[in-house]
Amino acid sequence: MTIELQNDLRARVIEMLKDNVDDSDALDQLGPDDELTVLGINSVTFIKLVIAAEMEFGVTWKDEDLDFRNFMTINSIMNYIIASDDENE
Amino acid sequence: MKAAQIIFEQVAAGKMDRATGLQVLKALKLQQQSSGVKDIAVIGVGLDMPHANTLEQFWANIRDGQQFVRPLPLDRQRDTRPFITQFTSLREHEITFSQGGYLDQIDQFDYGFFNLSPKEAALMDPNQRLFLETAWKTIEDAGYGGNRLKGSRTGVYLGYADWPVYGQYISKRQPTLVDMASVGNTPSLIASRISYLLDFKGPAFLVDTACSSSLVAVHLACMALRNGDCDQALAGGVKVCLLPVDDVFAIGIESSNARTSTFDDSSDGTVWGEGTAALLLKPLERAVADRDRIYAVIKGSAVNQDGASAGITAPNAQAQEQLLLQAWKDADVPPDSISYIEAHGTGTKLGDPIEIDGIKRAFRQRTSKQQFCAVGSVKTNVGHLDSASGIVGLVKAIAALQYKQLPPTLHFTRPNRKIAFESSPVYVNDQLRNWEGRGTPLRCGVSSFGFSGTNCHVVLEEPPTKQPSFAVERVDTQPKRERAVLCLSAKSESGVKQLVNEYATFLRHSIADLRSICYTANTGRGHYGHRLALTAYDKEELCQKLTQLQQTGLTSVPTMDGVYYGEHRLRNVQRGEIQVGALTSEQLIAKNEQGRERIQQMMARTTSYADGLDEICRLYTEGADIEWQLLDMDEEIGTVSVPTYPFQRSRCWLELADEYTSEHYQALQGGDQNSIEIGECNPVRTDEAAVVDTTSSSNIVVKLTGRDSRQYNETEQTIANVWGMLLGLSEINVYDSFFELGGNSIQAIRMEVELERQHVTISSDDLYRFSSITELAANVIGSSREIALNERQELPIATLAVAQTEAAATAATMSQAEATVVRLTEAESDRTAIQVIIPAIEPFNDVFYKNCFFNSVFPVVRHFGQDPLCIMLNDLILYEYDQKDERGQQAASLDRGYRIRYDEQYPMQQMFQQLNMKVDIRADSSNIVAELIEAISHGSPVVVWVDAYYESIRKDTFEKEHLDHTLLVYGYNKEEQIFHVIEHDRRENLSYKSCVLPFADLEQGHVGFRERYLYRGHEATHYIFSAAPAPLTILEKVFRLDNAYEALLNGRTHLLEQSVQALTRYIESFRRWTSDEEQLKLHLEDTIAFCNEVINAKHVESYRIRQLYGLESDTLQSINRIIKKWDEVRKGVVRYLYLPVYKPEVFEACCVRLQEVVEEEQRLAQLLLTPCN
Repeated sequence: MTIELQNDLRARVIEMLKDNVDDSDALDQLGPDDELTVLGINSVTFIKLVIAAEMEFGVTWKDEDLDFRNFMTINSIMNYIIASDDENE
Repeated sequence: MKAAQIIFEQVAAGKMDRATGLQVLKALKLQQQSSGVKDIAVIGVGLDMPHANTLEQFWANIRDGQQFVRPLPLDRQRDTRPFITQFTSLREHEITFSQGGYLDQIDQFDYGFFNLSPKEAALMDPNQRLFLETAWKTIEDAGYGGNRLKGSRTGVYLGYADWPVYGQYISKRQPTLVDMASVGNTPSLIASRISYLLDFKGPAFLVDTACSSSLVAVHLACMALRNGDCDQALAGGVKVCLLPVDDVFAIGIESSNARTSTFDDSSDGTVWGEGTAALLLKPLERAVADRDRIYAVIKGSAVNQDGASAGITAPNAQAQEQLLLQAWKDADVPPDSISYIEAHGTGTKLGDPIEIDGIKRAFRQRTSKQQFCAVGSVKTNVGHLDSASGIVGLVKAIAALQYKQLPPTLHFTRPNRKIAFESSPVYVNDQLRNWEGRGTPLRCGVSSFGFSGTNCHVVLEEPPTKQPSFAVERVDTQPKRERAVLCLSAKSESGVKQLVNEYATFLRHSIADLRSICYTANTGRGHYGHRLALTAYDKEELCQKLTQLQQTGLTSVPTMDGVYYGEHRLRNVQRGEIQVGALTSEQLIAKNEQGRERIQQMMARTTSYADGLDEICRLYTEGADIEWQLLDMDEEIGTVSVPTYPFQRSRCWLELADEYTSEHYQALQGGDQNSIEIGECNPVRTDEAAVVDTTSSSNIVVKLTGRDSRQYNETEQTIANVWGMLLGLSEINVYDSFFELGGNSIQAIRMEVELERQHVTISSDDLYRFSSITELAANVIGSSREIALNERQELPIATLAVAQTEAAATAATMSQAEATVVRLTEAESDRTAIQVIIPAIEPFNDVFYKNCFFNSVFPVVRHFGQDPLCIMLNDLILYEYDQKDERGQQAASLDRGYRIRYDEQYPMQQMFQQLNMKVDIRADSSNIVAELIEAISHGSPVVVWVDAYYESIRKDTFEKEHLDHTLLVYGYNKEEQIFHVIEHDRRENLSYKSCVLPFADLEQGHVGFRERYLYRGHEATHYIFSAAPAPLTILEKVFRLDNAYEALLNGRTHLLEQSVQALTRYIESFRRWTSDEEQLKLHLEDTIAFCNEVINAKHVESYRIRQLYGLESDTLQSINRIIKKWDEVRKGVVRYLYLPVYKPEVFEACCVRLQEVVEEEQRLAQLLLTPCN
C-alpha cells in the first residue's frame, strides 16, 4: 500500500471514529498508537465501530473473529482493515 | 590430599623440580602429624538467659540455686495470643499459659546496629534476632569483635528445631509482607546472617536433632575444626516459646507441677524454657598461640542414635552407654578422672533412670569405683530449652570449670526409687561444693539426648593450668610508667553512656590487668561513630574518670584531662552543607595516615609517648582508624573478658499483635452478633455499625532530625514520609543513609515508585549516589526546579477561584448549627498539616468487581497489606432467575427476572475484620471536607459516596447525568483546596487513576448524593478505614487461598445447580426473544445489559481463578472459553443495535454458543470442586 493510500485510509478511519465516539475533540490529540479507550470506547461501542468500519470500507467480519484488541488504536484498526481487504480479494 | 596432588602435577609439568617437590611433601607430612588438632578451646561465651546476659550472671544464678520457672509475663501474653488463636483451636478465653523458664522480653532488638530497618526487624523471627545479638556478643567476648574475623574461615553451627510460628503468622495474616519477611523467617538464615554480616567463609548451617540439636552442633563444629573445614567456629542454640500454652503442644514429657525435679522421686516431667547461648571455638594450640582467653577445653565428643528403641521417642540405655564410651575414647582421658556429668536430666519417669543406667553401664566397663562422679541438671534451674538445652548444660559446665565449684541441682529431696544411686558410680550434687581435681585437671561430661533418638556427649577439661599473666592484675614494679587508653564506642551517644556505666562497674570487680582490659577493648571491639577515649595510669584513675562521666555526662569531657569524645559520620558526597563531624573519605584517609605516623614516632621515641597518645586519642574520636595493637606489642598482654556492645534495643514485633487485647476480643464478639453488610446493595445505618475507634491510626508524618536549624523543606519531608513508611521509621536524621537504616535495592525501587506518586521524581539509582534525605532532596530540587516553575504557571488559577467561590456558596446555604460545627472543625483542622498524601495507595485496575464501591476499597485493602482477592473470594457468582420479579412484571418485560447474583459467604464487615481493617461507617456529614482532612491526616483513607454529576473530572456524567458513585480519597492540600482521589473518568472503565478533585466538587458531590440517594437505597455516605488488631479465628478458611473455592462451595453446590438451571431457562427466553424482529426490538436493551453483566462477572471469575491456579490451569481455560462464547453472543446482539438488519442465523448461532456455555459451566464447576486442580 502506498503512502498516499495509507494517509487516505488514516483520514477515513479518523473520520469514522469522529462519528462514533463521545468525545470527538479528544481524537485530534490522539496519536496513531494511543489507546482509543480514552475516547470512551468499550466492548459494546466497539461493535458500533466495527459496523461503521464494515460500512465504510466494505469488509465484513464474523463475530467470532472479532477481537477488541484489534480495535485498540488507529493503527491497529488500519491494519485490521488492510488485512481483511487482502483476504476478501 | 589436594596439596600433594598439586605438587605432583607441578613436578610432572616441569614447573617445580623434583627435589623441591619432595622437600615440600615431607614438610607437609611433618606438619600434619604435629598439628593433628584434637583439643578444641572455648574462647568466647555469649548468652541471653532468664535474668542473665553474661556468663558471670548466669553462673551466680546457678551457683545460688535459683530457678526461673514462672508464669508467662503479661506483655509476653499479649504478644503471644494472636499466634495461639491463629494456630490452635483455642479461643481467647480458653487459653491457659504454661509456666516456663521465660525470658522477660523477646521483642527487643537493636535493629539499627545491624543495619536493619525497624520494619524488617519487626518482621524477623525473634529466634533470629536473639541469636544474632548473642552471636555478636560471643565473638566480642573472645576479643574478636569489629572486623577481626571479617573474611575469615569461621563456621557457624546452630542447633535449632522449631516450627516457624512467626513467619507462618505473617504469611497467614499479612501475606503481602511475605517478601519482606522471608529472609527474617527462613530458619537457615538464623545461622548464616552473622556469616553475612561478618563475611565468614566457613560453613553455616542449622542442626536439627530435636532436643540434642545444640550439643550436636558443638560436636560438628569441633569435627570441622579438627578436619580443617574452618579456622574457628561459632556454635550455639536458640529457643523462644511462641505458643506457650498448656496441653496443645505437649509431647508427653511435661511436668505436672511446673518444676523439673531431675532424679527426684516425685519427678514426673519437665518444664520448657527459653534462651540462647553460643560459644566461639578454636583449636587449642592456635588459641594459646593467639593469646586468647580460654574458658575450657573440649577434649572429645561423640554422637549416636537410639536406633530401634522401645519407641521412636523413647531413650535407650545401651545407646547412651555406647555414646559415653565413644566420647571418652575420642577424648582420650581415663573415665574415672571425670568427676562431674551434666546430665540431660529431663526429670521424666522414664528418662532419668535410663540415663543413670547408661552412665553406670559405661563406667562399669572401665572402673568399679562407687559414687565418685557428681551428676546434676541445669534443667532444674531454667527448664528444658529444647534444641538449645545441650548448649546451656555445656555453658553451665564451662562456668563450673572456670569457678572450680559444682553448683547444686534443684528440687532433689528424695532420690528416685528406680535409681540405685548407692551402688552406682554417680551421686546427685544437690549442694554447692568446691571442685577439686584428683591429681588430674578437672574434667566433666555433658549429655544431651534427642527426642529424635540422636544423642550427644561432650567431654570437657579445665583450661591449661598455666594461667596467663595478663588474666590477673600485675603489681607494677615501675608505677606510673605510661598511661593506658580505653576506647569506648557505639553507634549512638546513649550506647557510649551505657558503656561508661558498664565499665564503671566492671572495673571495680575485674581482676584482670588494666593493659589487657584496654587491649581487649581497643582491638577486640568495633569502632563506631560515637567515640570516647579515656587515658589513665591505673584502674583507680580510670574508675574516677568514668564515675565523673556518669555524674556529669559527656558534655564535661572537654574539661577533663586526657579524655576525648567525638561523633563523626562518613560522607561520600558533600553537597553544599557542612555538617559537624562529617568526614569525607579523603579526610578519613588523611587522619588515618596521621595516626599511623604518630604511632611510629612514639615507637621510635621521636615524639614523647604522652604527646603522641593525646594526639592519637584526638584523631580516634574524630573518626580515624587507629591500629591500637601496635601500641601494645607487649608479650604479657592478652584477651580478657570486658563488656560487649551496648545494644540499644527497642520493640520489634508484628504490629498486628500490638493492639490485641481482650477488650478487642469482646468488641469483635459484639460485632459478630450484629453482622453487618456494607456496599451498594446492603448498606448500613451508622447506629448499627460496629464503629471502632480511630485513635490508634498511625500518624504518617515522619519527624526529621539532624539539622541544627531544625528547618526542613517540603521535598525533604515528602521523602521522609515515604522513607519512613517503607522502613517503618517515625523519625529520620536527614544525614542518615538509606542503606545504613536498613534500606535495600528493592526498597529503593519502591521509593522511586512511591515518590513518583507524590510528584517527586527520583531514580532508584540516585539513592546510591545521594543516600541521605538531605542529598536526595537537594538533587531533586536542583534537577526539577525548572519543571516545577513551569508546572506552577500551568495551574488553572481560574478553576481554583471558581472552586473557592462555590465552596463559599455552599457554606452560605448551611444552617447556623452546621456553620458552628464548621468553625470548630476548622479550628481543629488547623492542627493538621497543609498537605498529607497517604502513601502506598495504587489504583486497582485488574478487574471491575461488583460495583464502584469495591474498586474504591481495593486500593485501601492493598494499602493495609492485604489482598483484594480475599474479598473477591467471598462470593459465589451465579446466574439467577427471580420468578417474583417476573410475575410482577408479567408479559411487559419477561427478561427482568434474569441477573447475576454475587452470593456472599460472610458479611462484608466481617471480611474487613478478617483483613485486619477497621471501618468507621458514617452517614451524613455536616462538614465532609473537614472530616476527610482529619481522617487523612491520621493516615486513614476514606471511601466517599458522591453524585458524579458534580465531579469535574468525570467525562460521562459531569453536568450531564446523576450517578451514585464512590471515590477513594487519600490525600489533600489545604492551600490548593484539593483532594487526592482515585477515580476513573467513566463508568466501569478500568482506568482508575490518581487525580485531584477540588474540595468544592467533593462537597457538592456529597451534598448531591445526600439529597438524591441517601436513605433511598443507600444508608451510608462514607467509610473511614484504618488498621485493626489481629482478629479471631472464625473465618480462617476464607483466607486459605489454596482451598478458597472448596470453602466457598462447601455446602452450597446446590446453588451452582440452580445457577445452571437459571442459565438453561435463559437460553429458552433468549431463543424466544430473538425468534423475530419485533421481539428482539422489545428485549434488545435488556439482553445487552444482561450480557454485559455476565461478561463482567465472568471476568471477575477469570481473575480470581488466574490468581489462584495460574495461567496454565484447566480452570482458567474453561472460564475463558465461557467468556469468549458470551462475548460472541453479545456481539451478535449489539450488531443489531447499531445495524438493525435482522438475520435469524446470527441468533441461532448465539443459541448454540449459549448451549455450549451450559456445558462449559458444568465442566468448570467440576474442576472447581476438585481440589488442587
